[in-house]
Amino acid sequence: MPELHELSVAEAAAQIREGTLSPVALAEALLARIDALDGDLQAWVTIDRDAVLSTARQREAEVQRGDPLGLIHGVPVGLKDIFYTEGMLTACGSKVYADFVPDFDATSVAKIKAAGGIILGKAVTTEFATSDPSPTRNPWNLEHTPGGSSSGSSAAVAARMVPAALGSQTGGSTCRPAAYNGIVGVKPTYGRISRYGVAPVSWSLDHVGILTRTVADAALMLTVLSGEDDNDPGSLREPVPDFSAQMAEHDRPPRIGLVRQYYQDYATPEMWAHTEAIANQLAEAGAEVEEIPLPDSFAVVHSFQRIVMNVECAGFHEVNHRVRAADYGPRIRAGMEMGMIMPTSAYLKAQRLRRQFRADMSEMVSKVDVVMTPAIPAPAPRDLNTTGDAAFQVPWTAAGLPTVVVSTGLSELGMPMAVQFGGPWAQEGRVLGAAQWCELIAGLGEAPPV
Amino acid sequence: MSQSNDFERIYQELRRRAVAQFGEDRAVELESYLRTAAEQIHDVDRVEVHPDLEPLNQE
Repeated sequence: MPELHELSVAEAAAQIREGTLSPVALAEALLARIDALDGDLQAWVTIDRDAVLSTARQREAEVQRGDPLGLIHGVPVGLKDIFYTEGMLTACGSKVYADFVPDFDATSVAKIKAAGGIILGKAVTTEFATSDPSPTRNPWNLEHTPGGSSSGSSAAVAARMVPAALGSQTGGSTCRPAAYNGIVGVKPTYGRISRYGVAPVSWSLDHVGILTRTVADAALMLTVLSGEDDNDPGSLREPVPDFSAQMAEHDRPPRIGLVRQYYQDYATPEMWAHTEAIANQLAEAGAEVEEIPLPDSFAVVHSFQRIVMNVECAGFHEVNHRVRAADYGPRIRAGMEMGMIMPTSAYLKAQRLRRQFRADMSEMVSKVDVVMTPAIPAPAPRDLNTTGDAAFQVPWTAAGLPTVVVSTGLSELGMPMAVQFGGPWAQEGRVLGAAQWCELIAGLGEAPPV
Repeated sequence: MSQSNDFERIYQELRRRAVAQFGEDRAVELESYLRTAAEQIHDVDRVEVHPDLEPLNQE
């Protein structure tokens, strides 16, 4: 019998529905876990214990009278501290928003509550989800970065403080920390999950991301969170499937396109050797693995992504920059200043190249079921002054195509290694199916030593 | 014009904008960021696109 803090979202939700697990007991167990570990890990910034336990008691009463609200009834979920929460501090890791208390919930937060989830607390973010490091540590080794910008969400899920948390991704801020912390990360198709009520970095690049310990949990959370939202101008106008069911349809040996070009040269020898070993393991289990070339437009993706990000970041922060520039961290401030002086022609060219790149990447992924790459160039650096390297996520974020990261081993230094699967526009079920099949064959299956 | 001349022209224009907007001292602090941004612009400038290709926005 696993300890309560070890339960996955699906396990906890099933036991609560059956009446064999109390939402109050689960919330208390996770709060105790946070008490025990967060002094070292620093994954949480705001927790309202009374509200958590009060909500848990409500969820318990609802299930006792046979009236559960939804798919994750009674299950606690963490939120990166850029998600607006009504009446709760949402400081975005910044002095500039130090006192900001929103008067409404982000659409994703409202969806979690409507599905019966309990907001366990706000997880530490880097400042406005950019690259100035947060104080959070990696639970696999406290001297290593947990990555960012969803640093607290990832460390908290990995350390069994919460079974699922929301992150965001503008470059690599969900899938990179997922890989660094040995968990599952999902960046869905652009617009699949509403960004309404999420402090923006870059409107045309921002995605809401999901962090869990199993692929099945990621599919469940994606079903809860997805949907068209008139409040989000980038919202995806597509029907929302049951991603768990869609994933099950794809839970079979896939046709995998392994990308050697660029990724092999950029990754450390250890990381590339690991990726090839996983590809071989999947091939032995029945997958068709073939190497697949990148489109020519890949060559400048990192440049045009950064131009777009800096300009749009400057657009959001310009008013505060005028009066409080010194209150921003050095990297976000410099990034937005580059955006403020960027020629309009460069921004437009970058967005034109993005359109071509999305078309080219879509054509590439259409040739196979999923594309596979290493998730990170190297395991989490032993350096708390960096959030690591997002180079392997940026192309997928720029294209808006869905990706899932699965942790698949440990490095010589005992840090997690992972692979990343990417797929076609709005085909998250296909990518999740391949990821779950990989998880079954080659998943890490270990918890950090905390 | 050579590629290095193109880069230098882009860098000098960015630096001029930085001085005008943030002052000389801040422009000096931003030196490495200015060079990186100039490389990014130089990268995208070198790629030709079809004249009918529209920018991607929120979609």
